[in-house]
Amino acid sequence: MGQLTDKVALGYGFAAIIVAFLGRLHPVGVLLASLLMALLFLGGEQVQQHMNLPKSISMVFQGLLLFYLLGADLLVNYRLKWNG
Amino acid sequence: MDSNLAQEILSATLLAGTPLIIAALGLLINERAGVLNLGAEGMMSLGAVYGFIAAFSFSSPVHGLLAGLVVGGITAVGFAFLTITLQANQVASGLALAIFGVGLAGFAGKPYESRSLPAVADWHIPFLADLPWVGVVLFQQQPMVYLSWVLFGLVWWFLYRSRSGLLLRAVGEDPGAAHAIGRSVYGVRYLAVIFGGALCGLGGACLSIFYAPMWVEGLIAGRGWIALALVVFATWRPFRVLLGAYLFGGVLIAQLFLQGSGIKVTVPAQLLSALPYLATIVVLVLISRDPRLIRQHSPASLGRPFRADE
Repeated sequence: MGQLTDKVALGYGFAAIIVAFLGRLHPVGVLLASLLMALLFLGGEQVQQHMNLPKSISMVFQGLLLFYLLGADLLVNYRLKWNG
Repeated sequence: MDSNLAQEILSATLLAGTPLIIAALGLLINERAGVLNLGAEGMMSLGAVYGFIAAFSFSSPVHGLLAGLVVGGITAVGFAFLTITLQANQVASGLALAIFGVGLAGFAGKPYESRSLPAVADWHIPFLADLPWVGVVLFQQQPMVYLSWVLFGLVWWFLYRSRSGLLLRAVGEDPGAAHAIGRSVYGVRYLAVIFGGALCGLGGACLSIFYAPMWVEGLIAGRGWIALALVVFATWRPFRVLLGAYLFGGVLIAQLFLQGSGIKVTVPAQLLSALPYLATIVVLVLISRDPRLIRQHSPASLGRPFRADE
């Protein structure tokens, strides 16, 4: 950006946590996950420019992404069994 | 310093500490059941924004508070489903909730950013409000201050004087034992998490309806995180939560008065704004410097998922 404002790193710290989990706590995974996260950030900026939506919409998507990821872990760790 | 200014500062301190007390009491119950919900910031933001919208649309602060309570509770149901039923990582789920909540609050509150609510009149408690000096500080307050005292009493009574409180603490200490004697660990934890979320939402709604009274993005400004820190450093005991919250409120108001007064301050304003957060953490760390104290008082199963093996 080439400039310093007090909001220069807005939400990047939290996004990094999502990146770590999305990368399944694996160094190579983190590289790939960070690219996906970058897409979300860029998408947030685009939405702000073209549809006049607030930028916070990208945080909603980040949160949902992590929710689904953590919820889906159940299917990785356990086998579902229906007791009729 | 003349006595009027001191009264004003003290009474503003109580007001500023109140949303924190409400949220922290909820989180206290939540953590006493062994579930760590780091999403407090998100739930407070959602409570604040939907509370404000409801209070604005119905032009009634009571509707706003109820909306905050319900929204906080609903969000907490989602969190409880993830962490209790699906056994997801509590820390990561909480952080997801914090990010999600703050984002959704910013999104939902955008059309309401330039509105403001009429200020709610102070309640004068009969007889007590006429006490010299103390009456003005304690008993001519906003209704939410009394609400927080009632909640404090209820939480204290519930935790230490009721059977259900004992069960709640047992679930937090050893869910296995509670399960073995036939109590529903999942049920207790669900209720505790929903209660915690509802109070966080209520605390947020108090902030946007009584304290501000308006909504801007970033209104919560880290109070959810402070509430979480309060609970830990208060070693999971209600009375210390009260003290910590008023400490935060006191420093917040003192630095606002300092910035507003004509006194020349050489410290940058941003540093002064950071002072309440810093002071709260430093004082609470000093109080609970003994690591044994924290370990003895922390619920033994805090943050660990429980799975009932058939």
